[in-house]
Amino acid sequence: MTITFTTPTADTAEALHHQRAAHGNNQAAAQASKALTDALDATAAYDKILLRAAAGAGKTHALRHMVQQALDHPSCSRVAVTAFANKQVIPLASDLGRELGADRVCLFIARDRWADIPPEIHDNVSVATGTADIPASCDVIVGTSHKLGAFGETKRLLQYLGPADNGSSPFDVLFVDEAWQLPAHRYATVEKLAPISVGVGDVGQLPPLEPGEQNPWRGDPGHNPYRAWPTAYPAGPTTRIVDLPAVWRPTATQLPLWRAFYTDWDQLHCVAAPGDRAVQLPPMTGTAASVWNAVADGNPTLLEIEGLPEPEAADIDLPLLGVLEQLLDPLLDGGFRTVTRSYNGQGAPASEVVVDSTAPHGDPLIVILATRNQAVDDATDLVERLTERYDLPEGVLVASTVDSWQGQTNAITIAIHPLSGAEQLDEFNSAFGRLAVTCTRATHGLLMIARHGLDDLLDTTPARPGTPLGEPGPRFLPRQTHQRILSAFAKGLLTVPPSV
Amino acid sequence: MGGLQTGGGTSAVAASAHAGCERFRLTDPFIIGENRRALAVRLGEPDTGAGIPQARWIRAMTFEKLVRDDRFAAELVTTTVGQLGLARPTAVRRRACRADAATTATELATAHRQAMNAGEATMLVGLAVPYLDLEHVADASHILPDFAVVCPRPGGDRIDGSWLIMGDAKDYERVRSRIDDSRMLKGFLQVALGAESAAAWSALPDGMRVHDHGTLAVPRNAFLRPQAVVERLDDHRAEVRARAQERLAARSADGDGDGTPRPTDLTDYVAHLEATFDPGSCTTCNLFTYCRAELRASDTPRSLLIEIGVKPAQRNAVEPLVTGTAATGRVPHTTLAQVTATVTGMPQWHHRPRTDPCGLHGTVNLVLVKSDGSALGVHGVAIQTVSATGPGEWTRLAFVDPQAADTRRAVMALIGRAIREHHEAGVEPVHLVVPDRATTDLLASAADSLAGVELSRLRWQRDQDCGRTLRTFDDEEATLPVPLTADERLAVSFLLEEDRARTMRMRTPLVDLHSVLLAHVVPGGPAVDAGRLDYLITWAEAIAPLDHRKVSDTIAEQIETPGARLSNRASDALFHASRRGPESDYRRLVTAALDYRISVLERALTILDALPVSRLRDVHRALESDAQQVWRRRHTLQASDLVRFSRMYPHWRNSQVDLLDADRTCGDQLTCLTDLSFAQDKARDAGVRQLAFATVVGLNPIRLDVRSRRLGHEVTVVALHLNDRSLVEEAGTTLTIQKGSFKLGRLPMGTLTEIPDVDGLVWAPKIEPDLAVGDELVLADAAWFKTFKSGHEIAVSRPALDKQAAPTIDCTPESYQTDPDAHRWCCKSHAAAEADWADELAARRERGELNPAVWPPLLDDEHFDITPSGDMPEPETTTAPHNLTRDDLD
Repeated sequence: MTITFTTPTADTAEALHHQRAAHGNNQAAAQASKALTDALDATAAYDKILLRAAAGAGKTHALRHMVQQALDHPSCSRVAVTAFANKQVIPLASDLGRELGADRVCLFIARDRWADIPPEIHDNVSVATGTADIPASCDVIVGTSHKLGAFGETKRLLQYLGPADNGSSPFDVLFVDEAWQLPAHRYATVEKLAPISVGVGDVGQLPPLEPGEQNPWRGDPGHNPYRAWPTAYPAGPTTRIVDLPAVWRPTATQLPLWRAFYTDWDQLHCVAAPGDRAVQLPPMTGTAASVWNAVADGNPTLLEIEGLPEPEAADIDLPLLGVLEQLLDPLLDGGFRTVTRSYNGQGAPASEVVVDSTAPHGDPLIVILATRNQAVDDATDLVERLTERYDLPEGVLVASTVDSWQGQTNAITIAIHPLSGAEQLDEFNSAFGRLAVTCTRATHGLLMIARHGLDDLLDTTPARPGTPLGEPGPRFLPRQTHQRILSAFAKGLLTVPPSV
Repeated sequence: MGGLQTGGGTSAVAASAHAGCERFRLTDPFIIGENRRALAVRLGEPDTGAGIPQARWIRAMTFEKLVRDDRFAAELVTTTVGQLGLARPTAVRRRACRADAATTATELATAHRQAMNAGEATMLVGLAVPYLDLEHVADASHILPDFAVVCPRPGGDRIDGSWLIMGDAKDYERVRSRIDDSRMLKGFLQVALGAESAAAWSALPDGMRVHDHGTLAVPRNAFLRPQAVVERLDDHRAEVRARAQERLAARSADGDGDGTPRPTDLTDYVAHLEATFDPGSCTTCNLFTYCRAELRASDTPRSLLIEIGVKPAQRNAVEPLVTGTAATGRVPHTTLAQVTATVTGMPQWHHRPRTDPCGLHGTVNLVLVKSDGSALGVHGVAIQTVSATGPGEWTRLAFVDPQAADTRRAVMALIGRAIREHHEAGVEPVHLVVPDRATTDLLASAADSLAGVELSRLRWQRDQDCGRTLRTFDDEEATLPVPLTADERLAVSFLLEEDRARTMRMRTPLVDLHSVLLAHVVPGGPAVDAGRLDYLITWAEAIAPLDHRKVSDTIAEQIETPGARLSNRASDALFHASRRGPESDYRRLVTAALDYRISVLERALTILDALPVSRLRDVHRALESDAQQVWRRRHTLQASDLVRFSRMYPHWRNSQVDLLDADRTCGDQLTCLTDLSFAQDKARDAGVRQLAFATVVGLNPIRLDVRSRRLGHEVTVVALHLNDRSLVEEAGTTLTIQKGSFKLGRLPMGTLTEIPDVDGLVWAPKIEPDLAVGDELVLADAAWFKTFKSGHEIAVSRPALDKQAAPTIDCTPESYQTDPDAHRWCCKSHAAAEADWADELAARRERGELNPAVWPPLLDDEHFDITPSGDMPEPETTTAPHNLTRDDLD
């Protein structure tokens, strides 16, 4: 059975690519660097410098550059680098260590997370689990907000390391990577480590609060502990905000979807130009061929399916995963390749990188993202079955929760659309932060699957008030946001039983 | 009523709310030529729920009048313009459009010129704008925005044109200082229809553009003083545009443009339109009674399920219950019980013993009658203290001036005295037991209002001591209010403690009796009807089968209500009695209303008395008691006790995050331990991994068929319920209340083991329960709790006490004065804090950083009820148009 996919209807306003797109980011990063220099020079009163980016804008690269720049400044003797999770902190410390030397960079980590450190990273960084173990030679201390913000840690750092150049705090600059993932109540525990905070991150990220869980300060004009901390600092005399206007991760055809999430961005461009990425598929027929061809085209793809038996719950849908398994069978059986144009630091196209699913390297090839516990377990079971069935090497097929996949990159993302099987719009299926993370991980293809009826639901469901993405922000209506996002998808309908 | 009725701004809200109902869409006045209220009459099922109480209508009209009042017009304009980041206008004018489109066009042109030529901002009031795309339909009724703002639109260094910022006025009640999002959504949808219509209107002057933001005037406090809330309208405009286009498309569907079927066809026409009925949301549609009657007349099981509001996805699963066979599929226990109760006519009881404190020594029972005339108005209150010897006498008070601050103070004095008497008797914790949520909200909001006045008083006292003029937020001259009495202050402090604690599931300073009873009994009929305590009681008391429709109708027709709010009829009766006198009539009506509420409350307590009590009630009491000790220290030292939840400091809020997490987990675990229905629903929920159902399929060794994809081989599980018995409540189970946790021992806990070729999972609990093949268990993952080496004990962790910004046990009234730095965050009294703040405000005023000197104007997010300046406008005595419902206002 062949499926015809519609063409996305979202506006595709002119986009810049390659060097022209990357140039904007370089300029923005330079502005942020200048603001940091001015703050350290005390010629500007900034105590917060925020580099805002869409997902996959190369912001961590900019952060590393600013760390180096701060250390080169005569008024900066020591910096701290933090993020919410170890999985972000560990590679960042490793990269910084490679650039600056293991004697200067210390990965400060909880004793019980020692095992999480990949062996090769020990060559790049010093590792300490207690404050007293931090080598005196280290002027970059990298740790999670939990570790650096532990009770009494500032005092211990001052005791063992002494104050930094500013004379009172242990660090001169605190860098926060993935800053929009760090809620205000956690930032409060590290804020005092340095007089200047530099936050770098994706505004579409998720502070760790489940939708539907109590956030009693939602809509409160005052301090909201669950909100991403940078949102509490509007641009002003003490806060400098710089936006990175281009993204490196998506295909050119995915850009309208990204723009649908970052609607208040003045401009959003894409370094990848049309034709820079491709997925080479094995010979396939029928439904699977239609679906994977649509995904390989680069457009975000939505496959709606009708005729399935009832699921246990809207988002715990084994029959839907069953269809996905059937679709994945011929793809994994035949094997596929991703083709990626590489770029130099200025965004100029260079060579092509081909990754074969028989011998993958780099980012994982296919990731199945799910929202909550049992759904993730089911996706993991699916991955394990397929991995065993086709003896897949590591890195071909992975399952994860959306939350823990933040900041990660993969070639193809597969997820169940949050409105699948829904009867009405609610807080769970209209948690756009989670949807944004899901939709912005892939470099090559995005496949969302859902039970049929999304458009009907969106046409007929009563309007409800929306929760601003990341709060605070303009109140929006979930119906319109969903419609805006779905208009960026190529859509197809499959009626089961399929002949995949 | 002639002409084409567009329904104005409220039509946008209704079309959006009922978008999924074909019958609603195709009975649009555009199509049938008359409004739905008239249609309902014609169909023989008039909308009996329609109508607005006189007092509520007057409040709405008073608010609209205040919005147009010169005293507030300038403030609304400047705060709107300021929030949009625009320049300060050179002057502010107000112009009336008299609800006439031609006048509106003229005034828009004048305002535009004033903006262009003089940089002025104009507030236009009483506008009339042709409905979107119906400008050239001569008899189409217009939409009537309450106000709009016209101001200069800059373009570089010069004025390029003007902005038209559409607005509307809505006297939405602030509950605990907030207006909820769904109300704001309704308001802004109306603003958006005004913006869309204005943008499409050919009479808009050249160079005037409709701004992408709109402004909604809502009450800033209980005195109805208006405040402008500004929001972006993109999505709202898309929403109303889509709905308007749907309506217009339906209108022109039959080709001749008016689409009016012949009146003789109407009955047949409507009957053939498919309704999407929901007893919860359809009550705002005039055809509700018609649609319900249609369902009631049908004898299909499906109609009954629709009538009582079973969700579409659950109807297949519970339909067999209606036809007398067993249910199939995954359905929450409450839904099963609701359908069973409806069909059998008998209440369905949850298998859970009581953990609430109702009726215990230390409780205070309270009922009140809320006035529709103001957000915090109270007609009367009755209170009863429960001492060691049982409930005392009820004290009743009726208030001839429900809106007065003295009324609120009298209510507080009563509550304060009751709490004080318990404290003097050494009883703790103290709980205020009320019949519904609305009563708790009103009490907390009233307490916050008085706290605001008291804090302002402390500030102004400092100003007075320093010889400064007393100034309000808006720089008006203030007068020093009278201090709260000790009892009043105690009650205010207690109620604000409740406000701060309301997000904590385990805290119960105020107990909502309706929620308590609803946790035990499921009545038949629509779930929405169970929102009334008297409905719930009627079911709970049933000894013979009830006809759910009869119960619903009887309760709905009653003049008296069980909670804070009045029925329309009771409200109007009180309104007329208060206006016309004699006062004794008014007092008699208030007393009757109180008596009904008292009787309902007492009946509810009697029902609860007959239920078994859980041993975990002591656990709940221990948590509340410890928390109230902290509050009492706050109150004694008058430190941070007059602060509502939404005014607490950032540091306190940060610390609440971990407390909330711990509270939620503790609440979930304790409920799962005692409440079989709750635990079963959790076990049934595919998304919950910690609990599962299991059936005993073999003994020696015990083998279980565990229905979970998560709890399997090598997972240690503890049994919480065996058939319909909670194992925690069994005599053999031990309970120890510890400092950091509640420890339960001698529970069946063991690891599940999969053995090849053996059915089920082998389970070897250290303490073996008495089992038989076929027994049903609810199992929990032992790792969800704290476990011990003993292998039969689990512990539920206690949430930590809220000790942030609270005096420690060592703080004394002198501590802060003796060592201000050390005691700055624990026991600094309100008097000291407000004195510092008064000095700071005086310095800011001196520097020109406060209203009205500063631009953009500062916004008041404290919403304190300071005394309004000047006189309130004289309330109008017009009655509400008959086609409006409460939904049009609230």
